Amino acid sequence: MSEPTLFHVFTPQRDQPEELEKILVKRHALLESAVGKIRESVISPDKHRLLLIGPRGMGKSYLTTLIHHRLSLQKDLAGKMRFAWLNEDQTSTTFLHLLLRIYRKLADQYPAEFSAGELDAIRGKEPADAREIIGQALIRQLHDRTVVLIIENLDSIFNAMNEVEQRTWRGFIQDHPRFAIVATAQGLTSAISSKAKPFYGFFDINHLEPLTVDEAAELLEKIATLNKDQPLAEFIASTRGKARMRAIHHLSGGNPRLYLILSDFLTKDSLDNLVRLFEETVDRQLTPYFQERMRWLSPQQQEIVQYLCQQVHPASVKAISEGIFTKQNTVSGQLKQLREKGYLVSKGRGKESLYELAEPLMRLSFQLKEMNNRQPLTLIVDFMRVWYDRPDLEKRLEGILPGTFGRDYFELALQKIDTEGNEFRHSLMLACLDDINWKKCSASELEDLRGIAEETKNPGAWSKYGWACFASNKFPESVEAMTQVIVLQNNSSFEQDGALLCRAACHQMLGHHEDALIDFSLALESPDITKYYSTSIYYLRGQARYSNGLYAEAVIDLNQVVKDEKIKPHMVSEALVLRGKCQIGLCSHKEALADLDAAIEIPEIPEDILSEALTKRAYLYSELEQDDKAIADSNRVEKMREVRPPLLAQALFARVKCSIRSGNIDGAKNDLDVICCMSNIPKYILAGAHLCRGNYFRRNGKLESALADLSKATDSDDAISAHALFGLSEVYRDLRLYEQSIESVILFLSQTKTPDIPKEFLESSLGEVVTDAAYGMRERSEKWISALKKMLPLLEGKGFIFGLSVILVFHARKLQQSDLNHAALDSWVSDWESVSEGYPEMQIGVRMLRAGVEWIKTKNDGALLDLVMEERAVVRQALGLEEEE
Amino acid sequence: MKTNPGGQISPENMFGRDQVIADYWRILEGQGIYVNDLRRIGKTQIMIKMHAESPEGWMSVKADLGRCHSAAEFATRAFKDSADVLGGKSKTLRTMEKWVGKLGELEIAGVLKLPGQQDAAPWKEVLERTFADLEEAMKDMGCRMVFFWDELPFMIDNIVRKEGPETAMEVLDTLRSLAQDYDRVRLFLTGSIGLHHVLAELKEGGYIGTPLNRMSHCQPGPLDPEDARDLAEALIEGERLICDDPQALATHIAELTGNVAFYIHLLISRLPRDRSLTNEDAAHCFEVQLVSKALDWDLPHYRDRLPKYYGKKAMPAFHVLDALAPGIPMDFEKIRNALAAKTAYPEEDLRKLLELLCSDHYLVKGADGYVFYLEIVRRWWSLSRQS
Repeated sequence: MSEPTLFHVFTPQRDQPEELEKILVKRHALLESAVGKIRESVISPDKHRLLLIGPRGMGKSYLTTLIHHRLSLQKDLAGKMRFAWLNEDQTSTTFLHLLLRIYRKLADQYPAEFSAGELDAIRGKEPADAREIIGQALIRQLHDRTVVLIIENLDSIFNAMNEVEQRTWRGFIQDHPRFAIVATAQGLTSAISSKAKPFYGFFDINHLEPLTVDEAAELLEKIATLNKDQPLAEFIASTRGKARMRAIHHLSGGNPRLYLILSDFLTKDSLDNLVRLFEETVDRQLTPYFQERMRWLSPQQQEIVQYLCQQVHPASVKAISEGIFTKQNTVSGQLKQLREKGYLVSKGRGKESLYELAEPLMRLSFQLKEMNNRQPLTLIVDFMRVWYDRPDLEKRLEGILPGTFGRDYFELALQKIDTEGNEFRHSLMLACLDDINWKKCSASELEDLRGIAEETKNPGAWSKYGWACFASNKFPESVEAMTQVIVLQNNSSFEQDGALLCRAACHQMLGHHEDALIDFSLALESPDITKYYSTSIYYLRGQARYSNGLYAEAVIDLNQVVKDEKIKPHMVSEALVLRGKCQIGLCSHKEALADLDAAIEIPEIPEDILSEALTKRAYLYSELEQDDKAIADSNRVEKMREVRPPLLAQALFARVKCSIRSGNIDGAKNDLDVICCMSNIPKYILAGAHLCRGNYFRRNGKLESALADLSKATDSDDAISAHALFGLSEVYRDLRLYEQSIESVILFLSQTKTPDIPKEFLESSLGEVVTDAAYGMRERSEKWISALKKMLPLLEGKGFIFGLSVILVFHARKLQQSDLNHAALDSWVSDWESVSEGYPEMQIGVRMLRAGVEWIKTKNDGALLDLVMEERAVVRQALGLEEEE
Repeated sequence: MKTNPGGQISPENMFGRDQVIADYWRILEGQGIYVNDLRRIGKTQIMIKMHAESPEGWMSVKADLGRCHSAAEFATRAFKDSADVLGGKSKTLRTMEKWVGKLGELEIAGVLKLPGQQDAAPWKEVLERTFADLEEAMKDMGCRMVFFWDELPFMIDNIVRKEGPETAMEVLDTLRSLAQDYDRVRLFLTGSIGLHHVLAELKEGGYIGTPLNRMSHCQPGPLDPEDARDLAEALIEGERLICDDPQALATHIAELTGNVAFYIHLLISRLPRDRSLTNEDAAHCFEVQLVSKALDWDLPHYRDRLPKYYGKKAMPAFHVLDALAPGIPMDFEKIRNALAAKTAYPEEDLRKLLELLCSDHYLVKGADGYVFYLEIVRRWWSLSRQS
């Protein structure tokens, strides 16, 4: 790894702007907007005045450096703008003084354009004259160019400059619209925000927000990449890295400067010069500022701030009052003031408010002041033991010679790990859990939760992650997480119970009903759960049992729910409906009706449950052939608003059956049309509707429509599909599509379930289809023979062979009426004789067919004499001949 | 065109105000104008545009008097600006020239001094001579002069602080008489704070003058809705915001902000850039800004100043504003009834209270009754009183 890039964390103006560009996070849009507006100020008469507001270390100087850099790169602006970047350490009590600073900057930077002699000319003049002279000189020498005035710590200037001087300054800018301003301030002072003050509404204000955890990680990743430290960049991007970033975030408060400081500790091998430089810079840059801030506070307020400087986590009012031995009421009032003044921020945790420093750098400064004998800064040591594992620290320590400045940081970090283990890191990570709302987690937050859980192995962390996954519908992950909670020995019974319930619900959602049952049953063994939640768990287990087809067991669970007098009526209705469904599954129609009737009678029954109850009852009534009641319930469902499509479809289907029974074919057809157009309904209902309508079309001679519907009906479970295939075979046959007809028969015979059609009817119908199809394909005998060879074993398996052979005999009538010549007739019979070899049940029929064909050829009764008397009678009947005498 | 809340906008990029400006030029034919309205409503922008686009027959000077700390600085400013405007156009300011020497050779810094003297020239005489010379010059040229003086109240306050209230009173009286005496020189005055506040303090010190009584008092108010919409649309385009219907969004933004250009700039500058925007996005952003603790919009000012400036009248004022917060105009009777439900308050006192609330730009009285002067204040008031 090459020498890491050193960033001047307190004076980014000294850094290479190109390096600063590379580590830019979060502020891209703001930077572009700012540059665009200043550019507009330079090339047009409009002038922008930007003000960036944020506590120390939030990136104001960093941004102004980049604004300056980007503008400098725009060559077309070079001749039109002049920069005056005022030193942030200086302030001005009068406008004259400020004007002089501006003029000096311009004279220093552009000596050929702004004469230093003008400064001499005002020596000894009255302020009003000096102001006028230097102001006129500036404007005159500016010509038509624009000054881009960069002022840092504008608030300190306003604090130093009285209102009269502010008015003068403002007036000068208004009278000479030649200035574009980029200013920064720690906070929104009344000089800017108060309507009564000169500079109210004068600036285009942007508040710089702290970095989020993800943005901080991005910053450190970029720094690592810049320093070509790929392992570090990868670690930061990893789940564990992100979990540690969350812990660090608590220490840093999202302050970019602190992250830059901390990043140095990640990337430097030697801390020698770094630490010394750092401590000196903190002492010089931060301490005076924070000392000044503290001076504005009352003694008690100072105590509170000092107390919070020593805390790592946000503290409650109670903790603070105990920490400084003051009454809570008093502390509350002081906290409110400190918050309004911008020293503290409060965070809610439930109903409680917790307080922490608004400026994390204040803690650093405070620690520096507090430390004796140059002890290592606590903040930095804390960072190191959060970020590094013990082996990492030991390895780095090896590279630092004893007595070297900075070695003590590693030694102290190791010492603390020895005494406390990883508890500190884990406590910070676990504290981060409060920041994440498990009900509304982003993908990134889910990752963070997982990282924290993996790192800390804390049941609470796993539990939160598990619940967050559940809320995000990531059920497998939730199962995994809750399993972790359950197996961890140090979980609380509350966490254990919650994990069981959550896991059970996940299993239910995933369709793992058996696993869900196990977990629900385990949950019911917990006395804590059953004390408060037993009824709910019985309901949930009842649901799981119902889903698993365990209707009787589900009824037992639901009995517990229904008999609980404490539960709310709407829950009773849900339980009754579910129990009714179970009773339907058990074919206990009377009990099912009783449950559904009871549910429907409950006034508080939710609409959705009511529609389900009515639908199920309509179905039951239709099964019981109580058509009027079924239709009444279906009509009610149809009129309800926002009925779920599956329920509406079921209700309409029940009505279809009743309509068919009562001969209202048109009504049935209308309902079927509706169902066939619905989406998001169960396949079996849709297929069933297509099947019914297909049969309707077939009966009405609309064969093409029948084909379409029956084809759709095959996309279903076996029974409906089988029925549809059977219908299709007939329709194809009717359409003389004999090959498709035979294929349909083969598919039908391949189904495991048979439709609800009488066997005899099925047998004979199939036989007709097969013989008709075969006859239709007779001139392509190899095709139908090949198809029949596939079909015969299936027919035999289903017990349909004999039926085929009977139909074959009666097929002789068609042969008699046909115009087939003798050779064709012979060929037809020979083909059947050949195909049926090996099927004893076919032999009689084929023999009778042969005899029948011989009679057709010779018209001689003698052709039948090879048959026994009963067989002759059948053939004579098939040929329409009179009975033998 | 980029959002530029609070910044300086060139006259060519200003939206609207054409009718207002035309009206003001017409008024200036007969008298001076004092423009009083809320901060950031656009008073200075109107002044800038009028100064940049003065019609034929008018010459103008524009200055921010907040730079003047003393009467002498003010008088010098008036003189210098007049000389600059007249330079090369006519004979120089004759009586002044007789007094201070050739203007072309004169070096004037902050305060005019008589030749060979260290002290400032008497400011009153500077002003009187300057105005007299201007009157003559304008007569010669067949023109008129208007002084666009911004932040006069700031200047008066500066003078009070540095030189005492008596001098400030004298400046005001001098201005009044100058404005009366010279028909070809007009004053167009405005300020961030109302001059009546400064006058009220001077009155407590015994001042009885009425410097504004011969001037037309004008209140420009927000932009016309169409202009506000056009401004919003131009900014949406300039900021390259993504939305399906820029005109609809612009109309909505204009409505939310009550057609105040400053707030239109401010709201659009705060809208998210990373997605396509809807009216709901604008409304949500607006509400966030209104209740933000960052106080950028300083709307709590309207609430917080009531106890300080209204004293015992503060509580009835709160009740009146609460009653009008829903946005439905209420006439005097309805307000009285609404107030009676909360507290007993004499009718005459209520009338005065309503007058005060109007002069302080909380309310305005229209044909249908009283309403909040600015829609944005009404929305904020409504939100803040709910929480």
